[in-house]
Amino acid sequence: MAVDRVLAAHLLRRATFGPFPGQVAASAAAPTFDAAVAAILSATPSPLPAAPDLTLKGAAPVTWWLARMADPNAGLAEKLTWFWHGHLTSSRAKVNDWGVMWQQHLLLRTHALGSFRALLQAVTVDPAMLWYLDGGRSTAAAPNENYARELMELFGLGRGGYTEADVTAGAYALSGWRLDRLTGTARFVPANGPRHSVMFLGRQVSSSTEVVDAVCDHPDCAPWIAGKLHAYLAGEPPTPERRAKLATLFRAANLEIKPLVTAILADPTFPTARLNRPRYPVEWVMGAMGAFGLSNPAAATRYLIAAGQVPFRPPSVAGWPTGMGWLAPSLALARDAVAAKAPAIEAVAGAKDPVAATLERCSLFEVSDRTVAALRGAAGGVGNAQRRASTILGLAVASPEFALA
Amino acid sequence: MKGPSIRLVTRRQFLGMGLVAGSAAAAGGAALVNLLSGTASRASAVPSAAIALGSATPGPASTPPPLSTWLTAPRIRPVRDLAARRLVVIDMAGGNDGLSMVPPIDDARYRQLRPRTALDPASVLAITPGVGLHPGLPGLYAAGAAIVQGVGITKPDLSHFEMLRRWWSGDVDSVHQTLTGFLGRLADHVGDPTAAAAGVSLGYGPSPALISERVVTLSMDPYGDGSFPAPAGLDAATAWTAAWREMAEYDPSEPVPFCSARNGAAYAYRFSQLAGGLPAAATGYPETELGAQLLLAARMLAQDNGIRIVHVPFHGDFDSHEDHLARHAALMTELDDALAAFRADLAARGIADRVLIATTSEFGRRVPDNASNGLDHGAASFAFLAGPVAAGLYGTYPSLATLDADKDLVATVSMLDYYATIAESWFGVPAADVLAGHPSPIAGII
Repeated sequence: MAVDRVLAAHLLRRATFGPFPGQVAASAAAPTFDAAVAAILSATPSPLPAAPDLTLKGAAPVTWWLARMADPNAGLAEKLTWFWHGHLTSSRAKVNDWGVMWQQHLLLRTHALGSFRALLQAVTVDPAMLWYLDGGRSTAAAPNENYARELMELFGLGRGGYTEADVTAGAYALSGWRLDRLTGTARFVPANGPRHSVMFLGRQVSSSTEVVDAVCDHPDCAPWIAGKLHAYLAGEPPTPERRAKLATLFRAANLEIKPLVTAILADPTFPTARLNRPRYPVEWVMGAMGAFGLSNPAAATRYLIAAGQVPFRPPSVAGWPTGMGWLAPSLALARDAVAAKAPAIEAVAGAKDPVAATLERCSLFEVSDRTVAALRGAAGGVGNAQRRASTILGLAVASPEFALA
Repeated sequence: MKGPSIRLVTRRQFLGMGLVAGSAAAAGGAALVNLLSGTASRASAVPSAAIALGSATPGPASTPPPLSTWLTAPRIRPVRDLAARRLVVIDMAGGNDGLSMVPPIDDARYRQLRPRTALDPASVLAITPGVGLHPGLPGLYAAGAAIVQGVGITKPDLSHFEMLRRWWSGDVDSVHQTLTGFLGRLADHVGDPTAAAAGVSLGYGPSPALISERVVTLSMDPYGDGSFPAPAGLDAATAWTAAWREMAEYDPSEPVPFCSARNGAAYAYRFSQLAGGLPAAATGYPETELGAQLLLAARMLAQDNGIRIVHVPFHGDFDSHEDHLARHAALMTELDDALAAFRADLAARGIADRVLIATTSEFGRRVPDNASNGLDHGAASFAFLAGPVAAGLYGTYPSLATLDADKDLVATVSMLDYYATIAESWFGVPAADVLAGHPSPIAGII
C-alpha cells in the first residue's frame, strides 16, 4: 500500500461520511496521499435516489438524507452539503413546510462545491430562508433586521467588521421580498422594497443582490469562510497566517469552494491533524452503522434526537456547535445505547482474531493499548462466538478512538 | 460487577485558569418596590416608575383593573438550612420580550410604539394599576413571583450569541472572558466535588452556563432516563461494563480529545448510577418539552444526591421577529402550564421551600415593532424569581420615553445584581466570590 491506512482513514473521516468497510484499503492503494485526496475530489457521486414524499407527515426528508449519507459513494459532495446546512441554516422547527425545506436542501446540494457568492445570493432569497429569518414580509417602511444581522454575523463576515448602522441599512436594502407560504414561492414586490440606495459596508446598495455582493467583497468574507471550512475539515481553526493564505487563495478563485477545500485537504498540516476533534453525531452514527453493515435511518434518527443533531433541525441560526462539547457525558450515554445494539457480523464472528477483525471493520488503525486490552478482555469473557462478535464490535464503536474524527 | 475504578480528572486541568478577578463597571443600585411589605429599599428615593406611568397616562379602561392577590397571598418561607437550597434556572434563549411578559398597562407610548404587537390592556393581569402580567400567565399571577424589572446590561450587544455568552458566563461587559459559567461557579461553591453531579442541564449537548472547575456538571437528555445500556446476556453485559470502565480510565499522557472522550464516558457511567435511583415521576405535567424537563428536575431535586442546580434550556421560539403576539402568547402559556405542574409537584414532595426558580434570557426585544408584526433584537428585559420569594415588583420599570440609540429599553437593574441575588440571598455565597464588578443582591426578594 502506498498510503498509510491511518492517513487514508483520516482523509475519509473528514472528507466523507466514511470510511465504510473496505474504503480504506481502496484509498490506501493510491500512489501518494495527494493522489488519494485528488481521487476524493474527482469522484463522481452515485446518482441521487428519488426525492422523498414531501406530502407525508413525519420526517421523510430526514430519513432520505440519512440513507443518502449512508451511501459509501455519496462522497465529498454529501459532506459539504451537510457543512453548508450547518452554516447557512434553516430549521424545520420554524419553517413549517417540507416543500420549501427540500427546495433549500437542493439549493445547498447544487452549490456545495461551487461558487460561494452564487450560494449566498441564492440562499438569501430562498423561500425557506425568507421564512426562517423573517425576510418574507419585511418592507422598507419597517424592515425586519433578522436576516441582515445573521448574514453578516454568521453567514458571511463574523463579528467585528460591521456596525449596527450596517444592520439597519442591510435590512432596508434586503426588504421587499414576499413569501407565499401556501405555494412555497417568493417574489420581489417593488412597492415594498427600497426607495433609495443606502450606505452598507462602505458602498451604496439598493437591492438584495447588491447587499450580498457587498458582503462577498468585504475583506472579512474570505477569511471567515476559509476559517469555518478549515475548522470543520482540519479539526481546528487555522493559524492567522494560514487563514490569510487560504483567504487569498479563495479570493483569487472567485470564491469558488472546491479550490478552497482542495487547499485545506492537500496542505502538509492536514495529515497530522488526526483525532483532534470529535466525530460529530451525524458522522459518528454513519460510521457506526457502516461498521454494523446496516443502513437504518430510523435507528440513526433516534440516536440523533438524543444527541441533539437532527438534520433539518439545527438548534439555532448558528447551526450546531463545534468542539469537544460533543464528548460530554450525555453524548457518551447516547452513543452507548447505539453501540450496545451492535449485530454479530460474520467478518468478526468467523475471524481467527475477532478483535483485529473488529478494529479493521471499524477502520480503527491507531488504537490505544488500553482500548485493545479492553476489547481482548471482553472477547475472553464471552463464550458464544456470535455474542462475542456483537459485544466487541459494540465496544469498538463505543471506544474513545471511534468517538474522534 | 467489578472493574477498574475510574479516575476522573477535574475540569481545572482542562481549563488551566480560573475566574479572572477584576473590577467591572456595575450598574447603580436597583430601586425596589416591595408590594408585600412596603419596606424601604436602598433606592427608595426613586419613585416607582411603574405606578407613576400608570397614573400619569390614564388608559382607555373605564374602571381600574383589580390589584393583584399578591398583596395578600401567603408566601413560602425559604428553608433555613442553606445546604438544603436548590436552584432551577429556566433559560429562555432567543430573546424573551419583557414588555409582553410584564406589560405596562396604561402607558400610551406602549401602544404608539407597538401598533401591531401591543397586548390588549383589558386582557393583562394587573399587578398594580400600571403594570401587569401577560394574560397567558394566570398560574404565576396566582402564585406570585418576584418580578425584576428592566434587567440587563449597561452596554448591551444586539447579537444573540454575544449576549448568550455574557449571560451564561456572568460577564457583563465581555472584558473578563471567563472560561467558567456563572452557574458553574455557583455549583463550585455550593456543590460537593465527590457527587456524581452538582449541576445538571436538561438539554442536548453541554451547557456553557454550567462550566465549572471543581465539581461535576453535565447535561442530560430530558427524555432519557440516564441509564447505561449494555447488551443482553449476563456474560456479555459483564464483559461490556468491565471493558467500558477500562476505556473510560483517564490517561493524562494522551491528547486532550482522548482525555475528554474517556472522561465523558466516566462521568456518564457514574451519573447513570445516580439516575437509576431517582424517585418516581409525578403526574399532571403538560406534554411539552418544558413539562418533561421540569418533571425530571423535580425528581432530581427531591433527594440528597448532590445536585444543587438544574439548568433548563427552554427550547422555545422566543426570537419573534414575526408574528410576535401569537407566538409569544403560546410560549407564555407553555411556561405557565409547566410551572404550575412543577409547583404542585414540589409541594407534594415537601420541597417547595427548598427550590428557587429563576428565569434568564439574553435580551428583550426592540420597543417599536416591525412591518412583519414582529420585534427585532432588543436590550433590557424582565426576569422573575419564583418559589420561596417575596412577591412583588423589584427595580424600576424601564422608561418607554427614553430609549437607547437603537430604540431599546435601557437597563435599570444590572444582570450582575440579579445574579448576586441568587448567589448571596439564596445560596449565601458572597457575590464577589462568583461575579466581578462588586454587584449587590436586590434587597427584599428572599
